[in-house]
Amino acid sequence: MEKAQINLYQLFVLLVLFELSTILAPLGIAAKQAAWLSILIGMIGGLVLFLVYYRLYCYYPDVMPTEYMQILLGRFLGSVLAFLYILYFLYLAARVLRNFGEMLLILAYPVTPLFILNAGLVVVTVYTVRKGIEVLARTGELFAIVIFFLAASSLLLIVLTGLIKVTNLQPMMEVGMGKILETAFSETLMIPFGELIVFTMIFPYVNVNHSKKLRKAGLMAIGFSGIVLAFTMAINISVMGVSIVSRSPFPLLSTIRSIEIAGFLERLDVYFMMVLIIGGFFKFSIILYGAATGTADLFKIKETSRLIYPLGFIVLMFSLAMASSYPEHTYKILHSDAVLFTTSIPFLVVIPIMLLVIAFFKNR
Amino acid sequence: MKILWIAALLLGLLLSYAVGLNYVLGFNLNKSLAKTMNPFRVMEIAEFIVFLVLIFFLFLNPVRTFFKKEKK
Amino acid sequence: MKHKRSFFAFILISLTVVSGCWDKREMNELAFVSAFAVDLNEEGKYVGTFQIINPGNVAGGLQGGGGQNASITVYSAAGDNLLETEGHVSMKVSRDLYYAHTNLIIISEKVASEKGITELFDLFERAREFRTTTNVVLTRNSSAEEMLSVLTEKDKIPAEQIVNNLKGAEESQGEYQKITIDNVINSLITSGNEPLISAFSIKGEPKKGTKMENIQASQPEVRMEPNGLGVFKNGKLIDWLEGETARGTLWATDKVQATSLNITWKNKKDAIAYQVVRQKTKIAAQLKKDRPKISISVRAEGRIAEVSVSSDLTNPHTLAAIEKEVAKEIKEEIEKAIYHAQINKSDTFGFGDAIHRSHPDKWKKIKSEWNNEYFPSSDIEVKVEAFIRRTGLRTNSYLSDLEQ
Repeated sequence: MEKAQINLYQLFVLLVLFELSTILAPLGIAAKQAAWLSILIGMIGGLVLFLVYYRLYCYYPDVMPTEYMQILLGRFLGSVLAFLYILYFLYLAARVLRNFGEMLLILAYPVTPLFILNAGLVVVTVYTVRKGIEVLARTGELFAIVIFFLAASSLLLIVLTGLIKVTNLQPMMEVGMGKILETAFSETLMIPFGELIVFTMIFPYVNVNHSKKLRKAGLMAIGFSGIVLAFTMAINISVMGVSIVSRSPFPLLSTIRSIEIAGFLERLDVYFMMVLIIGGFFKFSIILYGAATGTADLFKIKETSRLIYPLGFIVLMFSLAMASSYPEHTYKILHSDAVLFTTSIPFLVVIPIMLLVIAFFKNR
Repeated sequence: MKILWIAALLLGLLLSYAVGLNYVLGFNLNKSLAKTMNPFRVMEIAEFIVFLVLIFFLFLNPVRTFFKKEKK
Repeated sequence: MKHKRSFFAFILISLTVVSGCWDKREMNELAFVSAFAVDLNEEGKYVGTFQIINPGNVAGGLQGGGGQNASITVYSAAGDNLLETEGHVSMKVSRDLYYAHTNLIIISEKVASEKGITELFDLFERAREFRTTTNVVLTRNSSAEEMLSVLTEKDKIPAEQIVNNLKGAEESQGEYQKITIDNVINSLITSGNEPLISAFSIKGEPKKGTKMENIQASQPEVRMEPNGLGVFKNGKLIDWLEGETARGTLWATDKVQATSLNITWKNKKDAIAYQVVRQKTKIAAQLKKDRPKISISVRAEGRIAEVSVSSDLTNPHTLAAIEKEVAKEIKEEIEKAIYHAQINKSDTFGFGDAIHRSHPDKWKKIKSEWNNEYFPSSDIEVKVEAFIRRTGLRTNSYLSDLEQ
């Protein structure tokens, strides 16, 4: 563990940036017009999951999850579990990296090799993460302002253009409550809310005299970003209709592209690009940081910074190897039960709850 | 050096997960392996050079620390 | 004091001698040759045509765009060899011919098919001012002089436009290739590898193309277009390759940069357009009992660019099936091209060169008969893998919503 401290506001900003990077994807579109509803339901689930992670942190506020797993489950089992978590984080990082690279490629660099784009982000991220969590957090503070400005101005522009057709959001319950709940729990709960488990690696660095404050900041961040995500999805659908949104890998791009004001404010693709790069950078950095500190903790490596480049490199390799095409990549994340049952459900839901139960009985 | 071994282990496990996932999706074993490897198959020269440079940096640090230890 | 004086003398002498004014040539005494063309006249003599830039009329942009006059002047003269044609032309031009900016050499169909191109290139290689990276192009259905005289609208210098045109065709179509003097000489001297030179033809009445009116219209009546690849055997033009055969040949020689091809899907012809972004071809050659066996492996990477039939492009299995179809299509093209070349008995692929590399001693024996005997009877195995990387800004087409 490095000696670093971040304050509550910085934690809040990092959480929000982490969550909002998913704003580009067609979140919960399986629920059709009710996508926004499934995001909100997912968000409520996400709040519950956050409380689980938070309670675990309350039991062991000063140590890494990789360490308290060993305390809770015994040395061997705990180490194995911690190792699996590191693998999961790397997988997650590769997934984010792949999405980032593919989006850039589809959008702006059609003949640049994916490897080069991914390598670019990895190099920048490795540099930042080597500097430690404090630097990352401060950078976050700065860019949060940019993101806020982008979000506010694009919302204003969309409203001004009169693109929103509320009728596109009806009939709301076309797919039925069952499907909405299914989407919420299999998709939107995991991405992006469940992924916050990475932050258990960062909680020990948060400088609070009262742990309740951390809970408040976390809940606020999740609530805020959940509402923004749901709202964005609702706007996407109301601007373009369900069909287009469900066929786009990045509906927000199409929405932003449909802005046309006064003959010169049009094709604002650069908005999307900025959100993409800022969001991708922070999400990837945070996950890589989590993986690196976890590995350092588990394998007793004193200098975390030396670990970061090798980990970044393997994430880069895996981000290319994980799928041979972008449709295949999204298919694996969203439509295959294999990924759901081998990664999201156990790592984000089952194991944390199990750990919490054990912790509860151990610390009674 | 230890770090590189850890990284290699992690990469190996991740890659086998990718292969396994392809297998579960219904591709046979050969095809799953091919699918995992094929993103690296059509590389341009510039791309390959960047790849080599990245690998070079991977080994730079261990070698440097090795010689530092020798000096002491 | 004495020292100082001799020192001064030394400096004065150096200044005059060392600074190299002996070979001086002033800008305003030079005639920049932008392109050079070779043709044959009725008597069987070479006709050299020189496209010379009129600098005053080329200057574009803020200076008022050159104006009403043609940006080039074309001179031509006959001679027994190329140097003689230059000599005769230089008498007609008021300035010294200057070749450092020549980037195009045009060889007429007549020269290529009657006299052959083997003996043409020595001058270009030997002369100081020529660059050996100058592009080489053939004419098709017109004389080289006509080709050089056509004015163009986008690039003021026609030679420039031809080169850019060819470059564009090479980068997007995959049916043409840019080839330089170096390349041509190399493939001429390598037995077991024949050159492939892209050809241009003039569309419309060539005489009209020399007038400024032609390029002042929005639809110029006379245009130059890339049109086929010339196949050579023993230095003589024997055939033209077009369309899929041309592309198949370039696939096999690793020259395709980007192209697009259509595949049949769900019984609909040309239903899915696949755009190749990059590809890699490897050729391996073996000799089995003096029978050559060539294996070609192609790996292509690209995206789906257009879909006119509904299919689930989010499903990896569908994509894998499409990849297979694309690979089949590419394979067919390559096989067709090789079959064509075997009938022509001209190895444009460099397979002989591959054998040379893998079996240097046996190559000496079969070298002379390679094109006529061994190449046409060799076994060729083509292996193609195509990868779809992405599908653009949409996953499924709206057509799949239409169907439901």
